[in-house]
Amino acid sequence: MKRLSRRVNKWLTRGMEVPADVTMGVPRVTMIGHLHVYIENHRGILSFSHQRVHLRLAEGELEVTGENLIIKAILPEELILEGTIQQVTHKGGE
Amino acid sequence: MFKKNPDWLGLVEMKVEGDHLESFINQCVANKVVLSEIRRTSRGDKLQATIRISDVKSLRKVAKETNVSVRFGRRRGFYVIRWLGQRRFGFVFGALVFCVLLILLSQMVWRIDIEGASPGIEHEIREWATEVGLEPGQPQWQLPPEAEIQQRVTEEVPGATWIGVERRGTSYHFHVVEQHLAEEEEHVDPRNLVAAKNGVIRDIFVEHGSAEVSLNTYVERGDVLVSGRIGREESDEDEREEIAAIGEVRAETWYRGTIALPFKISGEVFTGERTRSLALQMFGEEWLFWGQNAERLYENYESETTQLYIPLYFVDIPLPIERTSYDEKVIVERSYEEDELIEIAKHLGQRQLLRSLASDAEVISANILQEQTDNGKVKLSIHYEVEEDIAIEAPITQGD
Repeated sequence: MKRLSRRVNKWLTRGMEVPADVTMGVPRVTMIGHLHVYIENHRGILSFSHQRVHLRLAEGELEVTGENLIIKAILPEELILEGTIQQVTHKGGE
Repeated sequence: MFKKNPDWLGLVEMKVEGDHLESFINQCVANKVVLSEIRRTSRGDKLQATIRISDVKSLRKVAKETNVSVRFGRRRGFYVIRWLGQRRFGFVFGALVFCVLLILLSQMVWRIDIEGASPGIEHEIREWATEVGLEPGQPQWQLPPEAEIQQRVTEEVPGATWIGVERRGTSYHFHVVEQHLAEEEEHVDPRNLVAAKNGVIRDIFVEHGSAEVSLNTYVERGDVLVSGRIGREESDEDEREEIAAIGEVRAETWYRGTIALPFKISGEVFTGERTRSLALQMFGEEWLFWGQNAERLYENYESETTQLYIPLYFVDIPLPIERTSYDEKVIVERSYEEDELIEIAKHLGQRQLLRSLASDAEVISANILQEQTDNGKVKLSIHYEVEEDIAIEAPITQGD
C-alpha cells in the first residue's frame, strides 16, 4: 500500500509537474549565498555544533558544514540556518 | 495586535545543559515551543536559545521529559504588559475603555439649569452660555472656573441683579435674581360705579366713594351704585371732591333660559380592546410587518398613527416606521326618564349660564317655568336666580 502511494506520487510528480517537495515530502533546500540555508520538510535534528548540523529527512540525511552555525529558527517542518556555509551534503535515500 | 503571544511581547534567553540536546530541540518543536537563535556555547557542551516568555511553562515540561537543565537569562520585549496576551484580554480591554469613557463623559457639560429667571432673561443667559461654549456636550476643562463665569455672566447679561453660578457634577446651575422696578401706580380718572344689570342689592362693599343705594332695593341698569363725588351733602357742588369709586355691589339678578334634550342619546364608547401594528414606510409605500390591520377585527374603531423615532439626548432620529394603534368602540344608546332629564337640563343650563358670567357669580335657585314634550324631546324653560357683582365703572356725568 505504501509502495502504491509512493508510485502514485511519483507518477503525479512526473506527469502533472507538481513540485516534488509537495507530493513526496522530499526536502527543499534554499541557499542565500553562504549566509543562510532554508530547509523545508526536515524531520528533526540529529546533531548540532558550530561547524556541523546534521538533519534527518524523510529519506536519508542532510549535513551542513560551515563556521559559526546557528539555528535561526526552527518550526515543525522548516528550519533556518545562519552562519558561513561551506557545504551542504545529501546522504542516503535512493 | 490581537495575535496570540507575538514576539514583541517578550522573549527570554536561556542556556540548556544536558546529554541529549538534539532530542531536546526536536521535542520542543513537537510541543510547539518556538526556539530561535539556537547556538552552541563556545565550549560546546551547552546550548543557547531564545524562546517566548509565554512558552516557558511548556518548555519546563519538555526539559523535564528530556532530562536537561535550563537556566534563564536576559529578558527582552514588553514582557511587563504580558496580560495583553492573556485569554480575557478583550474583557479587560473593554473594562478599561469603559472606565476611560466614564471619566471622559463625566468631564462634559450635560445640562444647564436656570432658576428664577423670566423666560426672556433665561433665553439671554442661554445664548450667552452658548457663546462662551457652555452648552451640553462641551468638555468642562475648556471652561473658565465658576467664579469667573459668574462674574462675566452678571456683567454681560442685562436685566439681572445677580446671577449665581454653581457646578454640580456635570450640570451647571444659574440662580438668577432679577431686577424688579417698582410699578408706577396707575392713575385713575374719577368715576362712579353703576349697575350693569337690573337686580336687587344683596351686599355692598365700598372701598372708595359713597354708597348711593341701600340693601334690598331694586336697581335698574345704569343706576349709580357708588358715587365718586364725595363731600358733605349740604356743601356746594363745586366743593365736592371727585375720586375714582372702587367697590363691589352684589345683587340678585334673573335669567331665563330654554334648553331642549332628547330622551334617547347615543354615543361611542371604547371597549378597551386594542391592537397595534407597525408598518415600514419606504419608497412611498407602506408595508405592514407586525400586528394586523384592525379592519377585519373590529366593526367600529378609532386609529391613531405615530411616527417612531430613536430618542437621543440631543436629537431624535426619526425611523421610517409608523405605529398605528386601533381602539375598538361600540355605539351605546341610553334613554332617560323624564325627571332624570329635568335634573340634567337644570344642571346643564346652570353650567352654560355660569360660563357666560363672571367667576364669582353664584346660582341661588333654578325654577322650571315651562315644560314641553314632543318628538322624543323635552323642552324646558328655566328661570335662574343668580347673585353676582353688577358694578361697572362709568365716568361721572355732570348734573345728575
